[in-house]
Amino acid sequence: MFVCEAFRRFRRNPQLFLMGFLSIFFTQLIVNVFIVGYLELDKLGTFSGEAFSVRAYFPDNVNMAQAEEVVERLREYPEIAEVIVVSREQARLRFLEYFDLRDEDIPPEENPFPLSVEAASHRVEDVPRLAERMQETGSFDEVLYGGRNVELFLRFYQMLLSTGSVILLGVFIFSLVVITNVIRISMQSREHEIQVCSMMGATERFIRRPFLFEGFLQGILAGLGAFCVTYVIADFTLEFLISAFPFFPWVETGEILVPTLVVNTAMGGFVGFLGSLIASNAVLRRRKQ
Amino acid sequence: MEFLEFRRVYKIYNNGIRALTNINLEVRDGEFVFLLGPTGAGKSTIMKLLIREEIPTSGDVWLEGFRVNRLEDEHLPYLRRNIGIVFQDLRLLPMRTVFENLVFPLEVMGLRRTLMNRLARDVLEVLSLEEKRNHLVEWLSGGEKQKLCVGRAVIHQPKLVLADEPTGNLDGRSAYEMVSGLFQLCREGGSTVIMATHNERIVKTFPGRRVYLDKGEIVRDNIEE
Ligand SMILES: Nc1ncnc2c1ncn2[C@@H]1O[C@H](COP(=O)(O)OP(=O)(O)O)[C@@H](O)[C@H]1O
Ligand SMILES: [Mg+2]
Repeated sequence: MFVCEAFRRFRRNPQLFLMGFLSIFFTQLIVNVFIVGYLELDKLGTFSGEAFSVRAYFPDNVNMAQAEEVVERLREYPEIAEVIVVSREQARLRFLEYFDLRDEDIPPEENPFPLSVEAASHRVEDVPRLAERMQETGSFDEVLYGGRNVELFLRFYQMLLSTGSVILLGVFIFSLVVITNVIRISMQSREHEIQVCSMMGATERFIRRPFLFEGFLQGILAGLGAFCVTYVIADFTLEFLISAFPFFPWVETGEILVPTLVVNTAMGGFVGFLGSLIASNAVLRRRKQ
Repeated sequence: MEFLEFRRVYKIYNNGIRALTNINLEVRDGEFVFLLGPTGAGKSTIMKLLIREEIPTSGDVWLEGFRVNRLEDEHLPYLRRNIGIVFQDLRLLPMRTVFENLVFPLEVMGLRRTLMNRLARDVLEVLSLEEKRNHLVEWLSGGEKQKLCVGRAVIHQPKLVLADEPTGNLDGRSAYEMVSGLFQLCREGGSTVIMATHNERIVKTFPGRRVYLDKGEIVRDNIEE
């Protein structure tokens, strides 16, 4: 019944419908760019590479047993995902391997490497705090982490979130304004019908209902449209990126599927509904005077 | 208090036209009233005040003990559901079918589909519009539109029927049938009917009360006669 009615409205004034549809469609596309960007960064943040781990060196007088004890305590920190002791011998071997040296270049008796721990956190933003806490224990001579990398990443992450939310707010308001006016024009073009409804004893709720549904439907459809387009583009682009740069942790199409679908339909429907509500309030209030 | 009362009602439109001057009128429940007078006498204005499409400049309009001009906005729909109205300008919905227009007052009340179908069948039969049930209203002739309008005004069996020039587009015979139909509705259905017309000839053969309006004033009322 409602769907029929909405379809009839669409047929009567396709441009108007299209205008509301497109405004939400394009804004949802912008939203999707941010969703994908956010998911990608999120993935980078959890990517436990060298750059995001903390390394702490014990003083020379600490032995293996004491080191294990410290590590045991560190394990209780909520920030810590993984922590291991790196013995002096392990450090030496790693160094040799890394620089492709032979065993006799740094003989074990002359091992310059101190005993250390290597800790990784769940999330990149926890790294600086974790390092700080480890420093505060006083067990270590020196605590290092991929400082600049982490901080740059975090700064970028925060920037994206804050500019993103400003842009998203703007986008939201834009589509709301468009849809409100679309529904208002739609109502004004049906002034006669509203008048008849009202004279037959229709309540305001009854009069308003089809318009709310119209806005809601436009929003949902536009959201679904944006979702489909995003899906197709992302699938294509990501596949290309993954084959071009296979070692980089790209988000997969499967991972953006649910978030974009949910956000697009929910936000589209919400904007459409809210816009119609505002428009119908304005029109009905004006009628009373 | 009578079923319907106008007490010292004045209506001056925004453009300064005095449409009604000191109207005092009482109509009993179940009465049939012809509202007569030349074009511009104020007949439609009286109808508009009763469904509160307009409000009086001063004075009160009472219906079933409710003061229509002071009714809360949220009660207004329920007042209108008890009134069936044939508008002078018809006010059908052009993009909809005969059936959809006919059951519009029922739809507004939220009636069930089956009940709407049953009531519509009866009314369409009386109006002999059964075959045009699913035609768009714009395809109808003037007379058919007029009949549909009357059907829409009575389908929900309202207590008060206001018919504003309901014979305007009808030939003599159909007009006669229409007025008889309204009379029957009043007698058998117990509705109060107010019918406005500028064409006294049409109603000559019918009994009933006649209220004559001229330049916004009641000039004659044969209630006592
Ligand atoms: N909405 C309006 N605004 C201004 N003047 C109006 C309006 N409606 C009616 N009038 C004027 O009020 C007078 C009475 O009109 P109306 O009640 O329609 O008369 P009738 O139905 O008897 O022909 C007329 O002079 C008409 O021009
Ligand atoms: Mg008139």
